[in-house]
Amino acid sequence: MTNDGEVQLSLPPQPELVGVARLTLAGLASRLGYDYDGVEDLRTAVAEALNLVLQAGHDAVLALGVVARWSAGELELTVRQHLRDGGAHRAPVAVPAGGSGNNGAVDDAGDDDIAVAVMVMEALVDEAVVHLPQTSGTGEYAEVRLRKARPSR
Amino acid sequence: MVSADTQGGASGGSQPLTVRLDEVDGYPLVVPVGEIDIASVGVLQQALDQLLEPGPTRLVLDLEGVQYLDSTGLGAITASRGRAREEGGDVVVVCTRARILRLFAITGLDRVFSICASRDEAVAALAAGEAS
Repeated sequence: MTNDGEVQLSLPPQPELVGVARLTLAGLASRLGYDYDGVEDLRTAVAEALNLVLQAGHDAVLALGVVARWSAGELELTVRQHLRDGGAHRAPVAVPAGGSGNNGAVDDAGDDDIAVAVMVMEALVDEAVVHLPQTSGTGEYAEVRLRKARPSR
Repeated sequence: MVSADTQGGASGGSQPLTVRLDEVDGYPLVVPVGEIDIASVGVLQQALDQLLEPGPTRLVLDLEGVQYLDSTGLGAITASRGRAREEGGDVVVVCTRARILRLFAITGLDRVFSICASRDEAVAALAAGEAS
């Protein structure tokens, strides 16, 4: 497997399909040389990311995208909502790490749920950056970025 | 038995969740088997709600058959424990699976829940709580 590469996955915004992304990422992580715990960490972290963007309810969500980019040193995962009018939306707003900056735009997940999901991601990967829309209906999209160092050979 | 009703009986190709309701030494026993995630957590929640509905309930939740648990599952379990304790009941967890225990530890819930290595231990913990 080459040192650098990218895999893109696009899913309808349905809870039943989070498992597909989990399995796909587990397979990729294994190919990239992560050990059992590393694979499981990534599998769980990406599922938490998908849970967050899935629950950041948005009428205009067309799909959930997962982009995995890797280099010799690390794997970066970007999980985000793709909105119907994808080009017209503003950049997402950052949520402070370790807690919830959500102020009501997330429809289904409470503040505690978000905080727990962020806590889990931060424990399992080297960096987790969560962006959730500050208010609904503004065209902002939810996005989570995860980074984890690749195992040395 | 309560079973997950997901497409194809599975959550996106992962292991489907079934929840068996039983009894151990007179205490209600909940045994989920499979993967507890955002798609299947409702099945577990429904089973726990069903047991907690009548009033104060002290129950054992056996997670030994759970291959995967995410924060939505943890949330459901934590909410059920809170509800049980509000009414004088309790939820004691049986789990020895390292990945699941790690999730409890990451979130600090290992200090909140009684987590036992066996059903016998869980029954003893519930009995001790009842006596105190």
